[in-house]
Amino acid sequence: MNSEKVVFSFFIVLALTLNFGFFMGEIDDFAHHNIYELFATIVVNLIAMGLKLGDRTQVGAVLLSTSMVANLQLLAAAITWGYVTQISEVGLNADNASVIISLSGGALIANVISVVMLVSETLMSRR
Amino acid sequence: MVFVCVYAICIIGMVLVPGLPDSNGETTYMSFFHAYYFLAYTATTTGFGELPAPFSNAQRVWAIVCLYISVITWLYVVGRIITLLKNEHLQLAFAEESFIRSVRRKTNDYYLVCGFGDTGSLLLRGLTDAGLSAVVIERNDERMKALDLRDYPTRVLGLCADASEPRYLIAAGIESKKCIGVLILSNNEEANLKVAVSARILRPDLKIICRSASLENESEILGIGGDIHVVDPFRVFASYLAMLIYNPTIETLNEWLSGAAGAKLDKNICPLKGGKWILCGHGRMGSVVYRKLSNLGVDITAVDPLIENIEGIAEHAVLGRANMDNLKKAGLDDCVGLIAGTDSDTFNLNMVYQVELYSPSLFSIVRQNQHSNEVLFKRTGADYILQPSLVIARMVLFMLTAPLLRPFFKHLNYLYENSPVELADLTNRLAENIGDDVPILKTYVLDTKHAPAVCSMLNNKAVYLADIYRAPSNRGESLNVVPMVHKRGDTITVLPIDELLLAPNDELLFCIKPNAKIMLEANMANEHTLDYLLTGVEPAKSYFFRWLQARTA
Repeated sequence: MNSEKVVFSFFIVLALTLNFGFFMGEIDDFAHHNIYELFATIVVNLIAMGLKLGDRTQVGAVLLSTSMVANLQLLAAAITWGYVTQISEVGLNADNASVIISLSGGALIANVISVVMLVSETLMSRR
Repeated sequence: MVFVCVYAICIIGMVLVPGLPDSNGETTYMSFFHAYYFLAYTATTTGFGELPAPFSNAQRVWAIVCLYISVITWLYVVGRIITLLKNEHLQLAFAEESFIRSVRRKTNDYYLVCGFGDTGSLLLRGLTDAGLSAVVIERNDERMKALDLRDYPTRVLGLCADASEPRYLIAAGIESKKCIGVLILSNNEEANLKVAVSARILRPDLKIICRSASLENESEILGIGGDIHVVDPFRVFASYLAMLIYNPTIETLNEWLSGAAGAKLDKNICPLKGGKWILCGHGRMGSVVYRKLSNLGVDITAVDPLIENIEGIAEHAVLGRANMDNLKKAGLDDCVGLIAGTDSDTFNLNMVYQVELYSPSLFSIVRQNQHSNEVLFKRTGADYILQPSLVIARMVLFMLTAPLLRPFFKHLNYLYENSPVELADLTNRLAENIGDDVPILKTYVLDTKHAPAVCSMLNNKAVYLADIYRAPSNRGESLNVVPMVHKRGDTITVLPIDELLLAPNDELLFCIKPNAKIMLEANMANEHTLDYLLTGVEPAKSYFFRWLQARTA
């Protein structure tokens, strides 16, 4: 067992699971989605991206780019949330809730790709 | 001309003929635009009707006239255009133009193949299977059609033209840097020589492989200089045959390496050694075979119907057609094998068939000249079928994909003479590692493009040959590959030892079990994998873990 692998996989899988947890529920009903979960998703995703920095191989490059995509989408979701709740007068309604959730759905896909690559690389090395 | 005149007359008439009176009672006339519009849809038999306004009777009369003459003219013109387009020369010009454009657009390196006969098509199959790209020039229209029907893994561009005309060589992109070799394979000796010379003049640095069956032409072709090789179908064929009879182990290995169907390492193709042989046909190819075999000490008798063919070897030859009587005269009853090597497939087939009926235990080798006769040859029950075109195609293919194989076979011949045990060891090693699969032969250059991981590792660590083919699942084990030849600069080592220290730009020829290829390539390309193979420890992959490792260490 390799402690590096444990930590690395832990964060990548946690990023996916948290993202999925936030995404679950009706897309236009924000009562089904917890803003703290979005916060945790963003933090874990950023950590995962940090762990991926510095790998010079092809697989490493693709893993890093999937993390960057996920972060981009999640941050966009967070900014949208911040704008509608704090700055604009509109407040959270079905319209902007669906924007936030669908952005996190995009990030979910990127996280799925990341995990699939992680698993397949592990299986390839057959150790 | 006719077309313009007819249109002009019709339009003028249409404009001049008075139309129906308008609301003020004044006669209207058609404008030029409307007249042309009317004619456009009438002449092409579209017939929208009377536009823009209903016609007067006078206009209708003129419209009838217009309709007949314009439609006939129109059809005539269309017919002429179609004839022009179907013109052979024009079509050739179009084909050439599009060929030149596609060649220029090619992004990968390619070989220029002149002549798409049996050899050419077999070679193209091998080349494309090996992932190489090719452009073909062939004179024969029928063969070109055959090329279009083949389903090669990569698209092969072809032009129907005479390669001995330099402008077609240029059209096929011989001057482009992407053209990495010319393979001249046609049956025409003169044309081959001319193509070789033109190719050398156009590109002094280009690799040229030329087929030539005559010694005079061969020396002339070699005289051109540069990176040039001549393949003599008769000599190649004869040495194959000699190898088959004299040292069957090596020949079996060769067959197996080329991926011939049914080739097994544990079973020699020709099971016997020594004994008397009969050679039918002592023509151009036969005489080379005879000389080669008798030099190796094989007792051989030739049968040939032409007296001038067997002049020099009368005591070892029987004059006459190779029928049963003459074969018996040549000693059919006490010989071990028969080579049916005339240049006529009919004779060869008939001979082998009769001999098979007469004594089935005899080992018969038959020469197959035409690829199309394959079915018949397979049915005759001949023990071994040799196709000159296949033999040449295989040889050229090895020259291109695995040039290091030549010293390997030289070494094998040496082993065969001097230490047969080592040869048996090698055969066992190959059989153990690759088994019944068709082996892949591939040369790897240890440069930054093909083996980036090895190169960067060599900057600060020693890498041994054994390291790069360890199994990534467990470094104690090896992948199913056998390193065959190692080349550094001009030094060539056959069967390099595992403890060999690698250096950048070394060339390595591997014999690979198909499913191990991807792993071997990953070993050479992925730093992490290679690092594990070298040290046995999984390296830290990213900045953070490297930092952590440095802190804890």
